[in-house]
Amino acid sequence: MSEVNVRFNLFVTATIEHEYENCSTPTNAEVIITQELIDKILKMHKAMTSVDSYGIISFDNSPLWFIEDEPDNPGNSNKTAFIGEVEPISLRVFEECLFWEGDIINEGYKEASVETNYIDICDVIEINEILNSPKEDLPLWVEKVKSEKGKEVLEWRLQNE
Amino acid sequence: MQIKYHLNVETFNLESSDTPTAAEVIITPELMAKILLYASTLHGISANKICAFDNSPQWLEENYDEAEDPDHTTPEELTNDFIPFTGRVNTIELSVRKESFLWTGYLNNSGATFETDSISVQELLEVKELLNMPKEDLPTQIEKVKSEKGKEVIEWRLQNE
Repeated sequence: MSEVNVRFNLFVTATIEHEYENCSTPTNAEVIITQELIDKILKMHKAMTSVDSYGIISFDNSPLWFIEDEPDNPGNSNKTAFIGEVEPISLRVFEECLFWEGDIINEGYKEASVETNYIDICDVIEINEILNSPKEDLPLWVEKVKSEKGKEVLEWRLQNE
Repeated sequence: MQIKYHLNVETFNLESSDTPTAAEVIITPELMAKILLYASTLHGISANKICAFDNSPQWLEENYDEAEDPDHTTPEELTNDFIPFTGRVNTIELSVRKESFLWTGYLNNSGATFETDSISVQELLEVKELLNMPKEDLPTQIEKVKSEKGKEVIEWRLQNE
């Protein structure tokens, strides 16, 4: 297994409760997709499709929540960790995508709910295949890799292993 | 025998009372098999909920006399007369956890979300076992049965088979 970490910077959409209009919410979330998390996602996805349901949910605290000066330009603007409490964080896996959602809780009250944008399940499958391909098969991926993250992983492995 | 549940309904995201207050669900053998399959699937993986579209609930509202009770202040527990809910319920989601399951409905164009009471998976397993048990074994279960629905099944089968 490769030690490369696949890092997703995701946009966050917040739905704020009427009575807490001024509450602070994160604008972005960073999720490091480890091999362990990939295995969990793919296992959930397989279970979901095998029983003919449309979604499966698990508690998962992988996202780190941030406030970025320029949320649409993540990684290139000032970023501060979101200091509020986000709980419980659910990882939602559907047939074609997955995302995380949680509630902003302040003094026991839910002030808002937040959810990240979607990650395509095909990207996770591709990343997993590239991460676990024998090094000698990696050149075969150069032509067929489709996702940006897949390209990043491939590049990293080709340069570092 | 029909396995029928009358469930209370709790509404979220809406102050108006114009939402269902109860639901009736008939657990067909197919639905029972689906719910038990979902619950057992969750035991095998690190997830806590499986969702599926399911239109089994009939949503109900209290049949109260508007002339006598214009503000509809009669406590719910004093009325036991329900009629089909006339609003249009959009998506109905069956959520199955390891220990229990419930249905969630969404009211078109209002943002209202409502949930039925949950039913115990253990109870459903007991009901299934009692439904499939040879009739001659039922008397031995009278002392052991834990759920009200299980008692109903025994009573019905002993009287009607």
